Amino acid sequence: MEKAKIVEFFNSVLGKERVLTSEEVLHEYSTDITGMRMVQKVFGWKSESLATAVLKIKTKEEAQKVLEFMNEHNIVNVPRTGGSGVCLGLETPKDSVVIDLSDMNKIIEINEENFTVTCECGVPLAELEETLNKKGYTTGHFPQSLPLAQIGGLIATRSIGQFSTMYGGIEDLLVGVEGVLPTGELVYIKNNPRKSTGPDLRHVWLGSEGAFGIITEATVKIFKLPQERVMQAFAFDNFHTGLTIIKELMQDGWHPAVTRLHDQVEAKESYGPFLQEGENVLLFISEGAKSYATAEGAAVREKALAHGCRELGSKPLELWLVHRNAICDHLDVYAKQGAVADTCEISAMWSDIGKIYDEVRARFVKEVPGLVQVSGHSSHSYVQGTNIYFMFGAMAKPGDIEYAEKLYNQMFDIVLQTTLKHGGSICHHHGVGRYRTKYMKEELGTSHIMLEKMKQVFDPKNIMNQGVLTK
Amino acid sequence: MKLISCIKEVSNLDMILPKDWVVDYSGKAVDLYYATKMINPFDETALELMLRLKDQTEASTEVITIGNEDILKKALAVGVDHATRLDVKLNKFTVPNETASLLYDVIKEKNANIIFCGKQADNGNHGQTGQILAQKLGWPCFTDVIDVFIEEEFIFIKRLLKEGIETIKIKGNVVLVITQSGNKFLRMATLLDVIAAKSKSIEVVKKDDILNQYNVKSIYIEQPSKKTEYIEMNEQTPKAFSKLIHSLREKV
Repeated sequence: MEKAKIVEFFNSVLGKERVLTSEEVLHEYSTDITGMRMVQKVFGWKSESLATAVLKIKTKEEAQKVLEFMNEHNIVNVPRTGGSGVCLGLETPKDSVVIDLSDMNKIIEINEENFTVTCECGVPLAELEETLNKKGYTTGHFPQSLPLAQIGGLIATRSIGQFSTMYGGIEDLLVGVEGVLPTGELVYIKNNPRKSTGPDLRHVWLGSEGAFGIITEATVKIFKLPQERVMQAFAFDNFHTGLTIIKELMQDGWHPAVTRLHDQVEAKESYGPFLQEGENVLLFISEGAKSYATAEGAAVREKALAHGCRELGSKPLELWLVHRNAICDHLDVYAKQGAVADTCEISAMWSDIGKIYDEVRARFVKEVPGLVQVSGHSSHSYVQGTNIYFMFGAMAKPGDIEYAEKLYNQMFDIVLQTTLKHGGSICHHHGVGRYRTKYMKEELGTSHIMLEKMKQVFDPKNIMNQGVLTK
Repeated sequence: MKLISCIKEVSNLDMILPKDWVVDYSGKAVDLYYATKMINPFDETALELMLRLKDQTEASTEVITIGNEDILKKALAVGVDHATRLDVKLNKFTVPNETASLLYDVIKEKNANIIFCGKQADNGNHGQTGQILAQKLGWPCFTDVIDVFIEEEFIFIKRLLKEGIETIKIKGNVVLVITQSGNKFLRMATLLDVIAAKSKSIEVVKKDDILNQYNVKSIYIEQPSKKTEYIEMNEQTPKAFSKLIHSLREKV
């Protein structure tokens, strides 16, 4: 179908002012904030595969109409809300159409009896949290993308927040959800505390990354604001000791909302004046009902001291609370200095996570040319295991876009290959995007065929965010 | 050609929490104990400009600091050839004239051609050391410099002025006082560079301690008073505005 006719149809549904076609806008929407693109942009990179148009959707009915049309005419589309993706999941295939749902931004209902909030997909998480706080509630969901993220994208990428050890990931928070399938059908999964009616269909949307349809509305849990917070930090010599402390706390049944272990590189960078040379740092926040936070805080302290940790008080946590989302600024500065830098988060069982951490760091030092830094922290822990969030950077050749990509691939490959070798998962919470798709067969093993079949059933024409999750 | 950059270690003030920006009980200081240390940002830009000139001319480069050597190791890691540390105890009231005198004593023996200084440092904000150093050396000094390059025997200096960017062409030795600009971040050191820098030697020049010869005293740091009033937009807003306007008129 001709571009002009496609645009003409969208104009008739949305009005010209909500069908954006200027080259400047299309460039802006052509990618996300993946580290590789940040440095490539400094070197002059521009997307060669621009979309035909960006559609500013305001209602679910509009979403139904445009999707039905695109399905009928085989038009590939990229749904998005806050645009904070870091895995190339929002990159526009040539002549695709971007479905921007960020104007669907109404908070529909705060239900104080059932402790839920229902909102449209484009509600910014920061705004939702602020609204809830005024009423004495919280979402308990604080991803690093908080300043940008919106509800639809959080669900579509299986987001997790920094207080997850207590409140859980988005999969624990989602109660009900509504979406539009590529055929234009509106489908709604009602709100229930739990049910046993076959597979949990919410999980089709959780982590769907726009590959099965569009999320239009969601109901998530809310919590009372904590009555008390106990914040404490500890220093110690060996990263593995930190892993052991967290494992034992989880397996003893505690859930400090913030449970973070930073290796010596990161610890020195952020908390240097508190530390002796070579020390790692553990950060804990226990919160909730007063008696719970106090009891948990005491248990955490007892455990840390039993493992020979040195108490640092609460000041490192005060600093962390204020500076915790500054990573994007850091990556931007690295890019301007000509370094390819990014983060990569993986997870594994307790039996394997330490091996992955050691091997990844050793391989970086040995194999990556111009390595500036490799470090890691654990920030989301469970009874069975934890994640490691690797941070790394290496000097690129000034102006060399291809070399920047080669270097980026090399660093990511080290993390993902090592993780798979030890049975871990290649992605803890950023999503697959287009970047990790090549590893998905190895990640899912014999169950990969289930993902392929889901894609075929929900999106037989392969028009929904083509290239994410599966090829 | 020889280039020297004067650098200073400062606290990373971005780390200080808003609630901790309070004057302590003595009324004379703000407690910065948990701030990490770094090269003064203006000096970082100056250092990067020096390294860019080195890239262009293959000049020899040196950094000089007064105090700790950590920042010298960082400078060596990003490609500076030589580092000198002035081993001298400063007191908290050290003034730019004293700093410039210490630097002059060392620099006059170094046969340098261009001296780079950051415009100012966050801890004192005097903004004078570069200019005084130039006066002592008897060299021309240019302030608010954002770029420098060499063509044939001439030095081209770009200055950021209110009217725009001025370019100056000069010949001979010069002190450049550098201000910050958008794309002059100090280059990064690789891990190998950092490891190599650890084993490089640093020249140490012992100097007499500075004894507050000018008898400078800090009397009191006054907390700025709040000059804003927050009014919530609701049905009471018109009343609140009237009250505020009335009280402001009274103050005038």
